[in-house]
Amino acid sequence: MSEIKLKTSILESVGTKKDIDHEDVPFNKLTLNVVHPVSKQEIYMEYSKSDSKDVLIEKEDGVYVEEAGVEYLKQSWKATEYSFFLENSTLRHAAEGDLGDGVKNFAVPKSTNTYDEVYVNKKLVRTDYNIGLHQAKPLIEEIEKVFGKDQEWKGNRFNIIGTYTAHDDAPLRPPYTHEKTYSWYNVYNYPSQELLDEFKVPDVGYEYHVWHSIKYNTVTGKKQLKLVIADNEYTSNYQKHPDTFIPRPEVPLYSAKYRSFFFAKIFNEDGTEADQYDVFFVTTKDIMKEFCKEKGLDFPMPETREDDFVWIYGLVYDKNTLEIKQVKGYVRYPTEEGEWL
Amino acid sequence: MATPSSGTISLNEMHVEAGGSSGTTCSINDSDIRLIANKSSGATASWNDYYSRAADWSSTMTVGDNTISESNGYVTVVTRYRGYMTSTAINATAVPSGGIGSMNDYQDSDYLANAVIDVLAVYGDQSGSSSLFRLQIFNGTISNNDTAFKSVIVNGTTFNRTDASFGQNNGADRVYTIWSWNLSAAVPDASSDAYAPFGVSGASNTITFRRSR
Repeated sequence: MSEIKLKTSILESVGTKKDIDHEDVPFNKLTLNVVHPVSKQEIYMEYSKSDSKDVLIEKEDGVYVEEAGVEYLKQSWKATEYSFFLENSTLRHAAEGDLGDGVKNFAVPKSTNTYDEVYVNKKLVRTDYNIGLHQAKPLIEEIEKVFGKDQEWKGNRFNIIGTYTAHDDAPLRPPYTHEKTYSWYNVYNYPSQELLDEFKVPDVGYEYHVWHSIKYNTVTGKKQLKLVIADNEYTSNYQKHPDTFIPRPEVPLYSAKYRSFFFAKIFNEDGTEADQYDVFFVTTKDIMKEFCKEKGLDFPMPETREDDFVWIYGLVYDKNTLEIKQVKGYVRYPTEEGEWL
Repeated sequence: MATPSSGTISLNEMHVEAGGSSGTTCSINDSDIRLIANKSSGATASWNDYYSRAADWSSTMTVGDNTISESNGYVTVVTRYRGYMTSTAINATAVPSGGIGSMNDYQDSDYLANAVIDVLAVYGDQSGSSSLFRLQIFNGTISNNDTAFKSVIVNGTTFNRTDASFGQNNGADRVYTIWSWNLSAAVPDASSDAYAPFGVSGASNTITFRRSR
């Protein structure tokens, strides 16, 4: 690994500076000049004494850092700043009736006049509409032709319904088999025990997020349940919790922001679990592009959309081999088309 | 007015900075004079040790509290803020509507380059267990050294400058310099619960900046 000898100049992209701590002990600090991923403004940073000690290499002839270590710090900062930008853009306090039973401390979108586009290999593969938009109505009708009124579709005004589009170079994500599969998302509600029992989901103590989805395959007449699982000690520490550990492929640097990294599993009605897991994370376009290039994967966003409001990326991967099957990018758009609720 | 940074310095200048009256009797071993250079009684001291020294600066904060709802796509959280935040729009920091809290003094000629304090607050995601304590000032060029401050005591808790990460942007709409300390503490769900280092919302907390220790 290559090391960089640091100059003592605050103008350097990476530099060092002398300081004196509260006990009057001199030490060297790491300094960085970085460009904010959203505002594009230049920001000068100095690391704390302890953080600097972790990365600086003190030698007789000067102060050095590992080039890769500094690059990690810069990229990690950018991913987290990007997630702050996303967070501060769209939400408001929840009002009475916005959140389901037992859900608290969550905010809700300022508007329900939004839809999401999901891209894979630069192709639009799915569109998710807020349940109140007029585009949602025919999708519900398609489901009801086969499954009847299976759910309170509009039980929460933030619910979502989605439809798929397959392409030769961006086929349906496994395990889905037909385009005429519709995803209904129950938002701001924990999955009920009744629902978990219906899909025979084993109780292993996962911390579920406050939304889940039922996939309606109107060709086969089968349903699947997608559960969203927080990443925590139980899912990430194999040595301590082998029964709940969720294997994961290598992922790009992502935001250190709380709850911005999570998984999803899909269950069939007989309780079997799909071989494909999802992992989701917030990161920047540049980090994602570099990751895809390194791994030989297709960057999901078309050039015309890559600077839009990409609020999360996802990887579909095989739980046994960890092979990445798809790279997904989710973009949110406002619409002025109005609600039908 | 801090003592000179170089050149001639008199015992009287030290005494005045320490809070004494000009021309009154004093000695280099007086406790108030020793304090501005962080010297113990009888300790060896040189005149140079008294360059760029200043008496502590204390102010009183009426602690404010509010929350902001945030989202990562479908994932949403509520962030709680406690302390003081100006209502002015600030780059790099989300601010609850209208700001929070107040202080009886927002600037001092011997501290923080006489810049106005925009933020002195702790914040973190509710249901999370980590927080950031942030000092943000309206100045984008100040140097990160003891002339700005060496430590700040908030409601009895000491934060050393060199334990903080430091960032500044001189090209922002409202230029800023930020010191941030990482804290490990549960984030309360209510304004009536204490949120370290501050007390409950509405409490009166003392803030003391120091240059000598």
